[in-house]
Amino acid sequence: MVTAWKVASRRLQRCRSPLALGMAVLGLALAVGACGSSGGGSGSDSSGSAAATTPAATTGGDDAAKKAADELAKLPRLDGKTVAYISILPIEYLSTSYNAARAAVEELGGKFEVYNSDADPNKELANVKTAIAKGADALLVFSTSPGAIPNIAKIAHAAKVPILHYYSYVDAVADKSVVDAWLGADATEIGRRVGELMASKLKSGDEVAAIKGFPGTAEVTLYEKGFEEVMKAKGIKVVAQPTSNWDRQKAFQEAQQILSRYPNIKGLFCHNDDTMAGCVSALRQAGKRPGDVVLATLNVSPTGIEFIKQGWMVGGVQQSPPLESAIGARLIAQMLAGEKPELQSVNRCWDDAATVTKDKLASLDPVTTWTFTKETIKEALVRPCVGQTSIFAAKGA
Amino acid sequence: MKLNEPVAEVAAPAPPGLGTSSTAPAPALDATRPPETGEESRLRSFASRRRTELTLVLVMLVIGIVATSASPVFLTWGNWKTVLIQASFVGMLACGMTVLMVSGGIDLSVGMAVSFAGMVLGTTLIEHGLPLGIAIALAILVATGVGLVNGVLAANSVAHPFILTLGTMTLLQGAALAINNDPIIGFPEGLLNAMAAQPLGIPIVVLIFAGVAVVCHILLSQTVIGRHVQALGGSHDAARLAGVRVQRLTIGLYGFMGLLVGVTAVLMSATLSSAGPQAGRGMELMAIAAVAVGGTPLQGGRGGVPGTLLGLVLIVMIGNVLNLLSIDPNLQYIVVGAIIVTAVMGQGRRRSS
Repeated sequence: MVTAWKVASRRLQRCRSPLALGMAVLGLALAVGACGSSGGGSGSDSSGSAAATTPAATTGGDDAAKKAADELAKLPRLDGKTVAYISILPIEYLSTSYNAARAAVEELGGKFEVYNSDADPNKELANVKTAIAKGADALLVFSTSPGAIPNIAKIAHAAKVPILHYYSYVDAVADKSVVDAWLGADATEIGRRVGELMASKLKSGDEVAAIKGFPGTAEVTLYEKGFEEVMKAKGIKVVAQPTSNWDRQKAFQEAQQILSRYPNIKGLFCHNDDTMAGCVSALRQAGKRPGDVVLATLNVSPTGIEFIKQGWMVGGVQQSPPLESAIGARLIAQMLAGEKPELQSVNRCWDDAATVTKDKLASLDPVTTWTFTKETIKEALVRPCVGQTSIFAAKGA
Repeated sequence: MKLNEPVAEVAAPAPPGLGTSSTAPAPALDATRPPETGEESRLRSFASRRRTELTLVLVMLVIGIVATSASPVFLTWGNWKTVLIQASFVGMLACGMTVLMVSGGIDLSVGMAVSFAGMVLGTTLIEHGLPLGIAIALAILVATGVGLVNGVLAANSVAHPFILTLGTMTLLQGAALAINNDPIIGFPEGLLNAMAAQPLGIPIVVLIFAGVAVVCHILLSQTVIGRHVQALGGSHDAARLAGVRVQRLTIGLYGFMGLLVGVTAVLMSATLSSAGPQAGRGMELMAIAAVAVGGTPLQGGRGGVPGTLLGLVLIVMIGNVLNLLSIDPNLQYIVVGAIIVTAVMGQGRRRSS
């Protein structure tokens, strides 16, 4: 790795012609790529590194492990099958999601591929077609927009490829003829829970603000709706709701402006842990201390857990990309084996742990945390969902 | 004679040390070589004039050979249809952007204008129930209007159009979101089926894109307007002194860009069967990248549609090949960036000469 880097660097220094310089840049990039692939970053590497950092609490004793192993053995296998994951952007949530999906699919003996759409619906459509042309047997799709789902599903179904969609829930998706399965949490309920967390530390008449994620996406609208519902019921005023586009730097700037415009602000809901990091930085710069402004959000990623530990965040509403992806792989395996799995939604799969405050951190369910291991993925693959609700069933399908 | 030839010919015979690449010394000054035949001279002249295009073709050939040997899917017509459809939407914007950039202009708002025009189509068609033809005409008219406004701003302001259109880009993002915060779905099935048509086995959207590219190429290289566009890009003041109606031309060019934005928005919404307030996000950068990789400098004055098409296909093809080779998405950014830098560097010093 070091040698490749040195060779590329020397070539760069010796360049005399622009083309040679360009080739050297390419060489340098490939050396960087080699560094990346040898140093980790793929799904299996992620799970490996997670294994080193996750406490041994992942195993629930020999009996539980044996039971999980027995149930896992009964699951349909994915041997010889390829599962393609169509992702939106390389952000923490999605990379955790597809790395966990890779681990789960490989655990079931399948091959896994991931495509990134860069939030471009055209590229997404092309990626779906390329995946099918390459012989994908099933698709896991995290679509750029709920509007794109029916068209993607149509292409997949024309090729007889089952499709499971994550999040971006809209009524059109609830029609079972559109996608074969849907996975995600109830975004309105998440917004409500964030609101309740924040309201538990505030009083009627207080002023709060939210820094929204990407405008025009289904989840963001629903987070906003759920949050506003609770605030209104508690008599708390939402004074501003600018957008961050899921960008930490923009969240930082927007938070600075809110603090300057509304110096008495009592609460701030930045729409995920990553943008919360920008909000916390703005509070630090403004001389605020943990607890001065009540912060709450969703995710409960490693970043969020740190903020809860430090006292910046009162708590968070947990989402679990590893569990979602493991259940997604399980559903795909069942569908490819000709089964018709009942579960279409994981709304309540980890309901008890969903609202996480400082006192709950020590007892977090390892299967639902973002730092997954081979063992937690195995456990997630056979994890039953208590009180699960099926969106399709709710729609009368 | 083609309009962009004189510029290239000036660059071609320059002696070493005065701007030509050191790998291509002028033969007339090399006493040890036998004199060139007319054929050799023509070939050398062609290679010099078309260095950008030849470099891009060379890079594409190398990538193509690697992809063909590694994936049986790469050379299939089905795969190329995917590549061409993906390239078509940005391609229509890139063709208009080429004309604009040759004139020394630029339009950063085209991506958001696509979102906005798409939302106009969606809201008039789905939410207000207007007939399809009227909804399409309205979307295209609105986009053309946005282009004309950009043109008026660019023609009457001392500020660079980069900054002006950055402003309209933000404004249009807000306007698209004001129409509807969520994507509009439920476009008529007939529209989706129409976009799936493949006369002669070629997707309809690719044929429309090809038509747009031909029109832009002829406009730029075979007409008086094209000559004025190049003059405007070469020197604003000189063009004015030479009798070019600079203001009118500028407004017209931005309006033309707006028209292409409208067509792109309609075709894209129909193909995706939905319109989203963020659907066109990032398209402007990809269009500008295709134009720049294709050899049109940001300062204008020269360039052409053929180079843009090669730049566009190269960019889209790289993404396709990396997917076919199952390269990790994070690594793809590095490889795509490096190949684009290599392709641009390979075009040599003609840019700066």
